[in-house]
Amino acid sequence: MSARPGVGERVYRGFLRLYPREFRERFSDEMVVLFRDRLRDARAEGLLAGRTAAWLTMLADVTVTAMGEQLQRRRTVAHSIAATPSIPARALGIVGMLGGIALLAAFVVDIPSELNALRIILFNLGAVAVVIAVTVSRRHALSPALVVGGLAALLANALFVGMVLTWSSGLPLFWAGLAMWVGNALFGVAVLRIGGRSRIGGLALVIGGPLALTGIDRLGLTSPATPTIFGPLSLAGIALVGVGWIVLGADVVARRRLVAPPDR
Amino acid sequence: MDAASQPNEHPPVSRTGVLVLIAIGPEERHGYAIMQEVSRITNGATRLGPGGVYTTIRRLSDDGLIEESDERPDADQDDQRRRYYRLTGLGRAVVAAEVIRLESLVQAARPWAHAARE
Repeated sequence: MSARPGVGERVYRGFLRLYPREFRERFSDEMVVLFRDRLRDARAEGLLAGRTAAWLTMLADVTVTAMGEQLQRRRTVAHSIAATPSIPARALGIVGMLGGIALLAAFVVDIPSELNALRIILFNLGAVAVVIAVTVSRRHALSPALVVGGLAALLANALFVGMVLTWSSGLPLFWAGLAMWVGNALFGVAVLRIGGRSRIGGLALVIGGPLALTGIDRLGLTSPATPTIFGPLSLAGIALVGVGWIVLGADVVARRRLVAPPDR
Repeated sequence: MDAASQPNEHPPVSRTGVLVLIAIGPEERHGYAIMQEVSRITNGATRLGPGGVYTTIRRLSDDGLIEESDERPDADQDDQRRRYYRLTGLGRAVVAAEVIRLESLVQAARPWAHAARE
């Protein structure tokens, strides 16, 4: 019984990357089979609501249990924890969190237009701070992906700060905006491999970056006159990017070295 | 048996863990069957997802309450990626202890709970 896996199975297998490696190696094949059976039964019932419910409950299930397994792993496996970050690294993490909060602030309060440039700069500096903190904390185990993703995010966010400070507009601002969202997403891809909470932050950047760039005016996907789906999608993307940097910043701040696994 | 292998000395099992132990029962069950059985015995009040089922299976297995079973249906009737689980002796003892605990709770509450319903 080794039929070619369906789309649902392949998508679900992708989500399983959120679990710790050892958990995946032990249970992923069984979990895929279980989800396949669940979808098959939902299809047999013939109700769209049943299939939708299967996907939605799967998403909630993965979110909660993958996070729980990651936290459990952090508590019990000493080698999964990197060295305790220095005070400067923790400060960079806090700046990163503030940057993410600055990006999200516009969703909560009405930001005066004269403060908007400051908000964007704080966001970009926060991203740069986290990139530096994460890269330095992993300097003994730097992967090519982290070097490329880190450089992309670093340069793109720094470039955007330059654009804002020089009041640039038009095509230069367009390319800088494009580079910023793509750079953030590339860094997200790189930190997905680190594991723990970094993986959640990375996933938010990977999904949020491309969504956010659909809101760039010059792409013509959104327009105040003729609203499209890209309007809310780009806002959701921006929010996800903000959350991503907050999570990554918090991970830098809260990381601990375990001297020994505690008793269960 | 050392202390941890005595049901009364065993660390408390979560509510979901108890449900999964009861769902496996005297049979050998795979993950999806466990999920369906949990839903059935709770009248649909508890519906586990794949993550809920397998994180619980991991804990119960690590605690020695369940184990993988070698017995399985013929290959042409089953997906070979499935694994079947059964209770260990300690797992059965923990379920028995849990049943006694629940019975005593029910006994304590029954007189006034019945009156409250009427």
